[in-house]
Amino acid sequence: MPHKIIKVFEYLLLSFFFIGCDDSTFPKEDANGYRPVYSANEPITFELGVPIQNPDKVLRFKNYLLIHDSKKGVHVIDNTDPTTPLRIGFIRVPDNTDMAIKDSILVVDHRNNLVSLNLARTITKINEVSRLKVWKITAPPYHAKYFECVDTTKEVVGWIEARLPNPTCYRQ
Amino acid sequence: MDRSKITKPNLLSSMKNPKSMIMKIRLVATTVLTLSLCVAFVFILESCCCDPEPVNNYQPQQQGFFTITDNSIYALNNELLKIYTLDSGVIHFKASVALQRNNQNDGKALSATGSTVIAGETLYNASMHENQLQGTNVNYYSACDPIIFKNNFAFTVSRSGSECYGYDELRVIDISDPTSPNSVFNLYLETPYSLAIDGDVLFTIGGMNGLKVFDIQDPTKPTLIKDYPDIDGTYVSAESGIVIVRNSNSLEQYDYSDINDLKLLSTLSILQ
Repeated sequence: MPHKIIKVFEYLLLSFFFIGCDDSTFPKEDANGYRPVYSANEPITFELGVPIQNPDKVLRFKNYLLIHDSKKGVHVIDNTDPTTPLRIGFIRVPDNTDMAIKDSILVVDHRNNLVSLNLARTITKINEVSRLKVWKITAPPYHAKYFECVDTTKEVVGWIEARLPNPTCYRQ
Repeated sequence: MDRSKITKPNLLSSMKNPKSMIMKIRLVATTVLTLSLCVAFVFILESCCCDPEPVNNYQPQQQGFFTITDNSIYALNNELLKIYTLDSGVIHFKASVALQRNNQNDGKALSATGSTVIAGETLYNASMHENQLQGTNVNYYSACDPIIFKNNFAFTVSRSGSECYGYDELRVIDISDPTSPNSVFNLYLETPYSLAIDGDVLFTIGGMNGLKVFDIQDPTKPTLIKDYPDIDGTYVSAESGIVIVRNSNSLEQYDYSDINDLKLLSTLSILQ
């Protein structure tokens, strides 16, 4: 009888070695999560004839109005005569989210950098004075979510919800 | 068989019987191992059921929150406040300090005046440039609310329909002591979206509820001068006698040299 009891225990013991969870602790199937949106590596350019689509902040610089168009850039309006404002052009800043001005220097965010543009001499040509990396995005701003791991050679500018096959990154 | 002659095995007899001794040792060892593995099994199950561990210690970051005041640029990078200087148009890195995180809306917005910085809903004195800035929670202000500084006062409008669930009001906060911001005025307004200050005149725009003009010569007692219920919009900006109102269709410019009689100067259309 004791033999049998010991054997049962021994089998039980042996079975423990085959029990455990997957090393990765991540789902093997699809899961809801976030996929990074990478910057298209587009430069800042000056363009003509771009309509105002999604304006938010408005700044004044000399006789100009600078109208921020969310995620797109800055519309330049000649407001010398406020009764007849003239559209001068558009400073396209891909994925831009905000702008600020100090004296003749317009500061914008562009592909995770802060960029200063000098508007003193001309507003219709891009005169980039400096560019400094400020943000480095490696995870979505949402808690308890799976996400597609970031390709660190690229610039993340946003996140979209997606069905991820076998996700291997998770944000607590 | 004479059962009376059968004696129960004892340790001495076990020692005399090596087979029985081995059996006992096997029994004890197996029991101990099984029990300890049961405990381990519970832990394994628990870890399997819970959220997975992060692959790396990821820190969330948000692009785009920055503001300029004097010659300083403040940029918010999650729990880090990065401070830069703007010298002849060139941006130089100055310092990076850790911010304490008081609530879930910290990290959503950034505004500053002088060395006073409001990141999310917490106010800091960034002149200290310590490794970690100690902040003070700004009561009655949420990270979704627009805020404008004038001298030692912060003017803000709060809206119940915003992402942060505000109070539908205009509020003035005395920030002369950054360690103790103090609300000195509040007034119920219908759905105020935005505000602007030009000199001693404050404008608020309340969507379909119109444009309101206040006298703020005494910042602790803003006085309503004029209400323009027909001017609707969700953003307002004011400078040099011209107020700009943005609504869903256009940007309108008004001359307010006579505050009691705003004159529409022009309309810039927005492509829908």
